[in-house]
Amino acid sequence: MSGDAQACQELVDTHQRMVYHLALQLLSNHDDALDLSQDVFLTVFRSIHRFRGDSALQTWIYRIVINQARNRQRWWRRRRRADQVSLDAVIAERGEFAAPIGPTSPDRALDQKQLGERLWRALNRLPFDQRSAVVLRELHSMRYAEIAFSLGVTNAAVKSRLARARQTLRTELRPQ
Amino acid sequence: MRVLTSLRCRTVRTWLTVAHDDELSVGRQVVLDAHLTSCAPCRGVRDDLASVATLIREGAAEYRPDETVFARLAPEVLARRTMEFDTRWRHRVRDVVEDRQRLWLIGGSLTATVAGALVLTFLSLAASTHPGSLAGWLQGSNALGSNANPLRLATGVTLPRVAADTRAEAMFMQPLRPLGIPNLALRAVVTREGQVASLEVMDDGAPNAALTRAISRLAADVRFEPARARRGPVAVNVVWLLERTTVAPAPDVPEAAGGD
Repeated sequence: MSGDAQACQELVDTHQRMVYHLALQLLSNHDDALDLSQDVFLTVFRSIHRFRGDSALQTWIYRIVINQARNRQRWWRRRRRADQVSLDAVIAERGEFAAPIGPTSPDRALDQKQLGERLWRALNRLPFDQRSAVVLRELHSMRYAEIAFSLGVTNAAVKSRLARARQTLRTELRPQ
Repeated sequence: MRVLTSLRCRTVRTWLTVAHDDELSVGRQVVLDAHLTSCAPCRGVRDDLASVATLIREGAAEYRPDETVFARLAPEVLARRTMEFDTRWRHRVRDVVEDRQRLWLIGGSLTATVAGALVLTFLSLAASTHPGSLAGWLQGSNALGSNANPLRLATGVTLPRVAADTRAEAMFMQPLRPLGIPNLALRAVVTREGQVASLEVMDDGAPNAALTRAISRLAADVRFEPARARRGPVAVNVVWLLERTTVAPAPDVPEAAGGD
């Protein structure tokens, strides 16, 4: 049992940052992300015997995170909680956006900050599958095949979701 | 020509997002690069994609969790896992209790199992201590060689022998009164326990009840070492033929004979 506990500890230590970050990026809430991370690891421990090695262990864990986050989103929707995160809530949760790095003028920095806020607001409004595709690609640098496995869809579906999501996000870059 | 250019731009723009992800084939990448050198709107789309990616990464950089989160995540997960392991059986038992149908099923199965075990135990005990019990009857009543189904004497079956103590007692046995019967046939079963049973005496080919009773009384004290087959003592059918014989003394031989 002690060996078992040690193996669990190592598994958590190895993957906890990845799991927590992805959960936070998908749910935009620290407490929810922490709770989800715990659930993910418990699910991993419960179902590790079903892991057949069709993918890397990390990709398999990604898939579990995505599935659990999707289930939470559905639950929230059923509970009629707002599926749209307010900007105030986002800022209260994660603080002000940082100014871009580099020698830029104050006006430009402000514009960039406002643009970033608008973009993240748009990202949070995206359908869950599009948002997760963007997050996995842009923030976790996953290949299409890995994203497809994590989302349980085909490569073509990944390509299509990314294209549609980026089209939506590009509109936020246009001057208002 | 404008339509062609427009179509081409539309096609190229579907490739731009794939190219942005470094998943475009080399051939298409070459065509795309050539197109971008001469198409400002498509270059704008490419730059937009790059800006979107940059802004997303910058925004994500703001999600910097407190490092204490990671210090407590593993212990909390392991604690929940231990608790889950401990409570799993309790939950299962509670679920079973709440599910009356399953409870009846399990209760019925347990009762049947216990009852079956009791019956088997009872039968095994009865067989070892009570040969005449139900278990004994089930085990041996119909088997060939049982007292109810005796064997015929044949090869592979040893003959029953009169036990040594019976031979000693027979020396003190009162003989039958003279019957005046020249020949008798006795038909009997020597049981697995070495007793004589189902005795029948035939006198000149017909059953003789009086003689049967008389000899049965004597035979009640006779003990045999039972006949044996491969699997142990067996009951056998035996027929004895008794013939009265008279041993006459040898005739006297005159001493004078041959004496000269």
